[in-house]
Amino acid sequence: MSKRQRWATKTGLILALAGNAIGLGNFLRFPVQAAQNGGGAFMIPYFVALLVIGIPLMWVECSIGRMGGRHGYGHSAGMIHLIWRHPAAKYVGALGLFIPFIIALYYTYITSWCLAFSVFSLSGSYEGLTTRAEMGAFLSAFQGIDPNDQFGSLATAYLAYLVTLAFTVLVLMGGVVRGIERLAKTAIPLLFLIGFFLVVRVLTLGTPDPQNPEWNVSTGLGFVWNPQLDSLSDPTVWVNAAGQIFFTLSIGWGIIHTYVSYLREDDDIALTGMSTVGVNELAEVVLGGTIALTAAVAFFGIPGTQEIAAGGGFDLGFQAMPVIFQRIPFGSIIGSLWFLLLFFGGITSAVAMGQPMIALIEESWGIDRRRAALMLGTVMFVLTQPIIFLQRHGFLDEIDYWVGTLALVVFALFEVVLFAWVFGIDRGWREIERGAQIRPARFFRPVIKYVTPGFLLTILVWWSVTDLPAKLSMEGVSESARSSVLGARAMIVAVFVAIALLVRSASHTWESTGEPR
Amino acid sequence: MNTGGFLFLIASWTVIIALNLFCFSKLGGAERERTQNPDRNS
Repeated sequence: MSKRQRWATKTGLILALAGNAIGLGNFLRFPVQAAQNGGGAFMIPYFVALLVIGIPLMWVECSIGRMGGRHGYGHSAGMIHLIWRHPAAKYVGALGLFIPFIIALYYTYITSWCLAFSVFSLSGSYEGLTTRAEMGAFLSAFQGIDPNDQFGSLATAYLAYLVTLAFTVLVLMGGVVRGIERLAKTAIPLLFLIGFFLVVRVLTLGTPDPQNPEWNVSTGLGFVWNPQLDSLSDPTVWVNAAGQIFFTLSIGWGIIHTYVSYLREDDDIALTGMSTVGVNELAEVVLGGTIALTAAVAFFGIPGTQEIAAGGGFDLGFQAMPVIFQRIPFGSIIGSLWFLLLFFGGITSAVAMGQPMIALIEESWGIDRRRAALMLGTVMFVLTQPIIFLQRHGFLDEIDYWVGTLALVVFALFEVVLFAWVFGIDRGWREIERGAQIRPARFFRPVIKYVTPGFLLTILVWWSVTDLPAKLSMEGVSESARSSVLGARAMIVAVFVAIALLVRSASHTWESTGEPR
Repeated sequence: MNTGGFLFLIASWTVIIALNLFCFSKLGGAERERTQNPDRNS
């Protein structure tokens, strides 16, 4: 087997981990969640969730990942097998391969929209579409949902997807240092540069429409930040804050395990994990909390923005923002930068989602990473076809719910329980402290053992009661979309079974591994 | 934006910027130590 790859620099790893965590959600999901869940008051449950879920799980995943790397495992299937000597362990760990792989299918496609819109903005493709309804029609036609004169077919979206997928595969072919680390060291600083520029631009918008003096930056910031303290008594707000922390840090995916496995056995993980959290929060709260919704209020007023926020992050990013860009000087360039920012956030995450599977293929069957990346890219391309062509029938949304929402929490609950209760919190804590460049506060020890699993279990039960019955019975799904939704479910099951079989086949080489060192 | 909103914004930004300053100053310190004692970390 070839020598294990290592990160060239600590900064490279932190930027790669931050690149994995920072995605479209930081800029589109967070501000909408904050505005809909109590404004500034949302930050109280948000920071509590960061303390009891975000930081502990980041450390748990880093510990499992570095331990796995020490034993030659770069994927969570081998790692979970390491901390739980049970025949079922590898299948629990397989979730950490299945989740990033299946999300990568649609995430790469969504990331390609950002690339396409960045070009559209510069080329003036949506110039003259000055209402959200017109931009909505433009987006629907581009996605092939509702073709019109501008986009009669999916060809443009398909081309953007192919370019994005090819770029993802090329980066993965480059390996950890020359591919992933090099991308992160370029894309993440650029993302922050663009982000801070956009923050300054938004904060200097003033009152763009003199006929509506109350539509201004201050009202916009107030829309996101004015606290509604009574919202703190609503359990939904707490669950939503926990969910946001989960998604934003990309915990429960199996990716952090893989990235950290390329560290040396005594390299620090405590400071690395904390720094990753810090960089991600900077992007989310400072940049994400300022740019899009503040600008939306300045141009659409509060009722208009409430309507946009109710439509979700994509309405905000792809419909409202392009309308705004057309009303400000140099809007085509600023619009292009906005979508480039989203693209950088998306592509660093898409690449991260591919790496766990590359690690499995490389380590289990001795296939070199270039061939592994090509194989992965080919399978991704084939499996993304129904997502692209059946998007209008809810195929993408269905996968996103089961895998991109539910499975993450299930995997995270498994791993934290196995880490704290089966592997043991004493050994686990020693692992977190090993080589640490900061002293992890001992407050986190009982948190990892009791509070994090309890919080995750509460989220799962809450969702099971509030969302699951309607989702299972396909409430609100039209007759024409039912077969597509069932097809999405069948694909989820088939992909998990296929990955479980791969893991089973690979596991024959694991049995000789001794106790974790 | 009212006073409460302003306070929540400033408090959140301060916590996050402080966290980043803390982490990156520690990282910088560790990196300086590593370059001064390359044998310890090779």
